[in-house]
Amino acid sequence: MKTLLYFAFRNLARQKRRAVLLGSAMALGTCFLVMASSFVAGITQTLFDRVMVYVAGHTSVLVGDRGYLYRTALRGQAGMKERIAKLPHVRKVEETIGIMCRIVGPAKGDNGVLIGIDMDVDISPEEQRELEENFPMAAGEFLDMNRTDVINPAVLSKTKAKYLGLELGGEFSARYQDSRGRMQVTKFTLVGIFQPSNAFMEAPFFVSMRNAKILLDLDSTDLPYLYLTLDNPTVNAKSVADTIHRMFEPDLAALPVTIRGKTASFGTVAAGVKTDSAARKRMEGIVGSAIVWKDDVVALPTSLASRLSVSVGDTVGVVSGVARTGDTIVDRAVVAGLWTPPDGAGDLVLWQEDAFQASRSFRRPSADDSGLVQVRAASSVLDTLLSPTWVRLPRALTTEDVANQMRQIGARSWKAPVVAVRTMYETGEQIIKLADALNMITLVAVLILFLVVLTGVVNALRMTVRERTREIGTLRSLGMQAWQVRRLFLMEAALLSLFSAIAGTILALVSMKGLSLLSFPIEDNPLSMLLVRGHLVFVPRPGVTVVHILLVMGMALLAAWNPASQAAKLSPANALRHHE
Amino acid sequence: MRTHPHRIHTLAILALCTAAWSADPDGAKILKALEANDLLSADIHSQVAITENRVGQGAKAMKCEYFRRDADKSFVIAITAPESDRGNGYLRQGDHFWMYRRNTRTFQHVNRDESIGGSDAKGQDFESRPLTQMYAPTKDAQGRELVRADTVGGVPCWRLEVRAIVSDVDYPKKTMWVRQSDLLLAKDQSYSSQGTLMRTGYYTKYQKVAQRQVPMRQVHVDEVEKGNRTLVDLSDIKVGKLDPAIFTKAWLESRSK
Repeated sequence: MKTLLYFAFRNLARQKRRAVLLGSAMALGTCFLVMASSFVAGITQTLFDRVMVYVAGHTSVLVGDRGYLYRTALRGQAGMKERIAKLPHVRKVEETIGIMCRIVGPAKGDNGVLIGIDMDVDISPEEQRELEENFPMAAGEFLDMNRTDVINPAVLSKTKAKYLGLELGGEFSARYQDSRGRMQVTKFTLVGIFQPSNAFMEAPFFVSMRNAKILLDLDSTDLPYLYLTLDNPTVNAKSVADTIHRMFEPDLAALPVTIRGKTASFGTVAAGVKTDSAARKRMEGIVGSAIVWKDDVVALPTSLASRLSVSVGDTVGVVSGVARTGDTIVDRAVVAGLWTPPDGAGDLVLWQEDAFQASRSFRRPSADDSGLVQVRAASSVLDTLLSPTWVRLPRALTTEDVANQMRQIGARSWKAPVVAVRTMYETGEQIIKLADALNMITLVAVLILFLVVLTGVVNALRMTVRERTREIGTLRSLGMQAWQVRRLFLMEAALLSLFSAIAGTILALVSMKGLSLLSFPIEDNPLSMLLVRGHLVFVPRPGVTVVHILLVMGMALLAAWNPASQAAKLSPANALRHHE
Repeated sequence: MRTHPHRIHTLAILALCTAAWSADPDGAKILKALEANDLLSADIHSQVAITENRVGQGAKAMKCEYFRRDADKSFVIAITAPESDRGNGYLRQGDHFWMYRRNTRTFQHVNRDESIGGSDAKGQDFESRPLTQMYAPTKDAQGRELVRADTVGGVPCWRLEVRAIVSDVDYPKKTMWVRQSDLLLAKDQSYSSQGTLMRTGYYTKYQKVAQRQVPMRQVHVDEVEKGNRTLVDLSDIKVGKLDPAIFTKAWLESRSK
C-alpha cells in the first residue's frame, strides 16, 4: 500500500503541468460548491437568527382574541410563563408585544411597529454581543429605554428617525390600538437611534416592556405572546413546542353573573354556548326557542325566569363584573328560551358565545370567580356546545398551516380566545424550503461543471496510461498484480482530487472572507434583509464541506475507473512491446 | 388603496333624527334618539365619493357603490374608481367580512381590528351596535350630564360629552354637537382614554331620504397627523328592497369583469 502511495505521489509529481491544470479545474469547482453552499447557509442563518427569531422566537406561544389580530393577551393566565420557564431546554422566556402603529414625527408620518423589550431579564455575554451586532447604536444607548426623566423613552432605527425628521431627544407621537381595542395616541421621546442590520429592522420602534404593558393596558394577570430561547433550537424547538401545546389543555369556561330582570336581580353562573348552524339547531331543541339563537341572547333556567318575572322575548341585563376602567359591565340580552338545567348545574344561564367571551375578556378577574362545577355538570347535556376557556389551535407544521390558522382567526372560526404554539422552523418553513431548493440548484450546477472537468480527467488518464504502458509492463513483470495497477491509477485520481478539493476549500474560505469584508450600501433594497449591516454572510459548515470533498473524490474515482481498468488489463508482454 | 368604509357606514348609522325636539337638553334622550334611528328598516343603495388628503401625498379620490341591508347586517362596497382599484370591494354577511381583490380574484377575510385598505377604518367598525350600549352621557361631580348649548358654524347645537360604558370601543370618550332644531349630528370629536383628541368629524348637507335625514357630506379631520383629512360625499341615494343576489361573493366578483 505504501509503495503504491509512493508511486501515486511520484507519478503526480512527474506530470506537474497536467496535474496542476486538472487540479485547478477541480479546485475551482470545489471552491464554487463550498462558497455557494456557505452563502445559502448564510442567508438561512440570517433569516432565522436575525429575522425569524425576532418574529417567532425559537418557540413561541401566540394568543389572540375572537378575530382580533392585535388583542394579544390571554386574560388571567400569566402563571403559564413561570411553568414554561421551568421546562427542560428552555433558556429564556420573554414576553413580547408587537403592535402596528402610525408614527408621527415633526416632518412626516409613517407606519411602524411598537415593540416592547424586556429590559429586566439577564442576558448572557453572547446575547449581549448579538444585541450589539443587531442594534449597533448610532446615537444614545439601548439601555436608555429605562430612563425615567423623559416621557416614554423609545429607540428608533436611523432610517426611520431620518424619515420622520427626528433627532436624539426629540419627541414624536404614535397612534395605536391597545390590547382592549381602543385607539390611543401617546407621546414618546427618542433616546436612542440604531443602525438597522437589515431592511426588516427599519420598521420597529422599541420601548421597555414595562412601558409597553402600561400603554397597551395589559395587567399582571395577562399572558401576552411568549418567545422562548432554547438550547440547541434545531434539535429541541419542536419537542418543547409539543410539550407547551399539551400544557394549554383548555377547560370549560364559567362566568359569575347577575341577571337583572323586571322586578329583581339574582346572582348565578353563565356558560357560553356556540352559535354556528349545527349548534343553533341543537339549542333550539334544548331551549325550545322561538328566537334565533344568535347575537346577544340568553337562555334562562325556567325557575330563574320565574323569579325574575321574565319570559321569552323579554330583555334582561347581564352584569358580568367590573372592567379595568372601574365600570360595571352590563350587557343587554334577549331571552331566547327557557331550559331545565341538569342536576348540579344550578341556575346556569346559557349565553351566546361571542358576548360571553367578550365579557370574560374585559372583566377584571376576581379571586372569588367560580362556577366551573355548574358548567361541568351541564356538559352532560350540552357537551360540545359549551364554550371553552380558550381554543388550543392544532400545531401548525408548515408555513401554509400557519397562514391557514391566521385566515381562520380572521374568519372568526373560533369565538373564544385562541392559543397557538409554534417554532420558528414551522413559521419559517418556506425559508428552509427555499434554502433546500437553492442548495439543490447549486449542487446540480456544480455537478454539471464537474462532468466537464472529469471528462478532462478521463482523457488525461487515458493519455497517461498510453504514455506509461511500458512502465506498466515493467511493473507487471516485476510482480505487480493487475488489481494493484488499477489501484495505483485510482490512487492518483484520488490524491489529485483530494488535494484539489482541499485547495478549493481554502480558496473558498479566503474568497468568502474577502467578500464578507465588502460593504453593499443597499439599505433601501429589500434584498438588504439578506445582508448583515450591508455585508454578505457566509456560513461554511465543516460537515457539509467534508461531504463536498468526498463527493469530488468520488466523482474523480468514478471517472478514473475505466482508464485504470484498461491499464490493469494490459498483459506484461504486450505492454513491454509497446512503442509510440 | 385608501378607503374609508367606516365613514360610509356611519352615513347610514347616523342617517336619522327626524322629529323636531324642543324638550330640555337630556343627554340620555339624545343618545336614545340617535339609537332609535340606528337601524334602517329598508335597504339602501348610494354612490359614494371619498377624497383623502394626506400630508406630503396630495389628494386621492375614490368612488364606490354602497349597498346596505340591515335586516341581516349585510353590505357591499364595490369600488368603481380609480382604475387601479376598480373591481375591488368588500362584502359583509353576518359575522363574515371579506375583502375582494380583482387582480388575484380572491376573497380574503378581514380581521376585526385589521385596517381597511390602509385607512383608519377597521373591520370591527362595520359591526352595528346600539349607541346606548356603547356610550352614556358623562356626568359631573354633582351627577349632572355634561350637556350644554353651543354652536357649530353659527348653528345652535347641544354639546354632549359621552363616555364608553363598555371596553371594546375605539374611543373611550367623545363629544357630540347635535343640532337643536332637528337633533342631527353636526360635529363629533373622539378622544383616547388619556383624553387626547384624535379625530373630528363634521356632518353637513343633510337630505331627507325615505323619512330619514342623511348627511350627504362628511369631513373627518385627523387630529394626530395634522393636515390629514377625508371628505365623504354621498349621492344618488335609493331606498328600497335590493336584489338578494347583490350580497353575495358571486355578485361582487362579477362586478370586476
